[in-house]
Amino acid sequence: MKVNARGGGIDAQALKAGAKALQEAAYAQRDHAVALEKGEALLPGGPADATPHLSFSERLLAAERRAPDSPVDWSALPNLRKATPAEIDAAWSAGKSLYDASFALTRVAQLGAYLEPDPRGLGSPRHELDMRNQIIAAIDELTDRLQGLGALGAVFDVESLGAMRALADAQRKEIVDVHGSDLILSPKFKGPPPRLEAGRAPDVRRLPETKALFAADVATFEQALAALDARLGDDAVAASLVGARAKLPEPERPAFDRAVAGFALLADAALNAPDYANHAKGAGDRQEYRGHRVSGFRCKIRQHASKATLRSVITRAARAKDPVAQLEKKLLLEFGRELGVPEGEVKRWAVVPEAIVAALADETFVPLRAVNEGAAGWMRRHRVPEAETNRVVWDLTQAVVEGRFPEWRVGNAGSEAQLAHLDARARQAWLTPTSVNKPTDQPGLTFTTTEATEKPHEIFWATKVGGPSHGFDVMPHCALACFINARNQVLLAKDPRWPNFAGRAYLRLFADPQTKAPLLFLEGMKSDFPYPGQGGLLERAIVEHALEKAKAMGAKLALSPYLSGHIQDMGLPGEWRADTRYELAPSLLVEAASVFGDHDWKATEREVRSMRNPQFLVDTNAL
Amino acid sequence: MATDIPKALAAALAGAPLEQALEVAPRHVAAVRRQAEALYEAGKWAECVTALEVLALLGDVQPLDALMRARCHARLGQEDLALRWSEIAQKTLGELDTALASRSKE
Repeated sequence: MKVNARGGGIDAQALKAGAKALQEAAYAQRDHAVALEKGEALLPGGPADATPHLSFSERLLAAERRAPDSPVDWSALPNLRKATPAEIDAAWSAGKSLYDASFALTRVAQLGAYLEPDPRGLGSPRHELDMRNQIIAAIDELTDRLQGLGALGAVFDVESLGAMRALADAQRKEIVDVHGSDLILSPKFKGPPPRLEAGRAPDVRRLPETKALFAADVATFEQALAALDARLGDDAVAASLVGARAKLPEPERPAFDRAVAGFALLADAALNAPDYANHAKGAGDRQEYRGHRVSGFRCKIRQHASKATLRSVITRAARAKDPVAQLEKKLLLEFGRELGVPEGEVKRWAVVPEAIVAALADETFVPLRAVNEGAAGWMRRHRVPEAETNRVVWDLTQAVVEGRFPEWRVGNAGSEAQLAHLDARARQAWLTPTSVNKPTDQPGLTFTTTEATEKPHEIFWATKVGGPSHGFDVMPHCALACFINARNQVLLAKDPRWPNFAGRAYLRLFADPQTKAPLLFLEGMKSDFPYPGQGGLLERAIVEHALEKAKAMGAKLALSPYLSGHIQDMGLPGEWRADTRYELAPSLLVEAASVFGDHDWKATEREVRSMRNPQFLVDTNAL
Repeated sequence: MATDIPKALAAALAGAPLEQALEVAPRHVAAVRRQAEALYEAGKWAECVTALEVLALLGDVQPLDALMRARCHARLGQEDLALRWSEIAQKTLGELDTALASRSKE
């Protein structure tokens, strides 16, 4: 690394050659990795091989421990000398220093691409300044995060870090000299003012027809029986249920009917849901799910197995001595099995039939199956053992099927830590869902915003609106971050002409690291993919919703630069800032907020982070 | 060298468009990992170093990586680098040794 005579520049030429070689190597590695997946040679020109990681580690350890010229002094490592690779892996996962360092490094690598002017000439000078500012912020973040880590000296030596920091400071000074400030709002955030018309009525006839079963479709025993019959196609099931019901005393029949309705809803959901455990893909949006409209949507093998199991379970339960209790118990076990939860785990759960039926009626089956069958795999990327992820996912699922999800979401240890800095007023205001009505330019048409926690299970579909990375079937661990962390609220924008949420935006609760005062951050709105209407007015309603929330809490509110059109249009008081720091309390497991740079990460420790783009800090006192 | 920043970081600072190279799925990372191991066992030391660098760029650093790199550089006759990575391996594994000791007491 060279610093030029003025002390403020990076000699890119000196580094370019190495970068190009590394980039080409990375491409080659990726191409080769793809070839490996196709069963092609592991080594160029060599035979295919799939050496399991542990076998390799065992061989490496065995060789190195007895090698007289081993690069390490094993006598100084008494515990490692006899540890197995599995024990070493476990200890490594429990630590975080090198792992964090590598992530910080990756972050800088991603931003580093922007440090030099874009050779394609796409960037304006201001854009380049902005990008340069981002890399400086990343260097700040990198050095901050690495300070104090045990492996600091192992990854970067301290003098290099000091040089990096000095370089960043010099770069920032240069930007201030050129621009007058180190805060640059990228041109991409300066679009035309938002259009605030409601627009023509969306043509919902273009949407897939709803085929999914809803609570109203199974309101009576006869309806539920017909729905079950249509899905399971077995006369014996219907006959056993009719026979069992006929023998029941009248007071027990409502519970019996409820269980049958639950099984009808479960059969409909299970037989039409994607098989996430076997890599089936989800649908693009909620209406596609409701319309069962994706090719390869169902896994036929799993579907047949589910159908056979449900037939058998229902028939046997109906013929039991106490059919109501049996049906209710089996409804819980089958629900859990269909979600991919081990039977031993589900057997510990309380049987709360009304809660199970409510969860099914609220369409939680698909999101819960996606999270149960997908989150642990994704969290392995963050070196989180499957058991650790599953514990959180199972606790979440248990809370849902026992009918106490809203309480669990707010009361789990992570959420308690996230809300601990709030006084009673702010806590009450944060946890009390509010709504904003936004009249439109069309008579009688009003858009509304609500909060995803207004109804017990609405949050499960909140992130399946636009995005799409936070959709439960795209990156389920990111949706999980929304489900388990009380600091994350989703504001839902509703157009009464549209069958799903027309838009959604994250409103997140953090703390000022110095004062511990609550600090809200509102992200830009994502529109439902098939929603054809104008999003401007919906987004305006969301901004107003967040402003009201901040005022009610007595909290500061920062707005995403993607909302700059509204900020200007509304004449909001406040200022753009690039140096705001946000304190994140620990989570049970994970956070996903790409505004901080990383898309998602294991978030079980307290953190202080800065955002990669400037934010507009609203002066809520002046409103 | 005190100012010798890691190659990967140097690459990043050079402004190379690494983003596309970084867009790999977890299964690709696992495949690169397998390949690094196979390259090591095949004695393709230079290629193994590259694979380990790419893995680090992708955020996948494993406990024995530094040891592997030290061995690779030693076999390539790169004594300075071998020494540097030996020190890193000793330090990393020393931390792990301590962690293992505390785990066994629990």
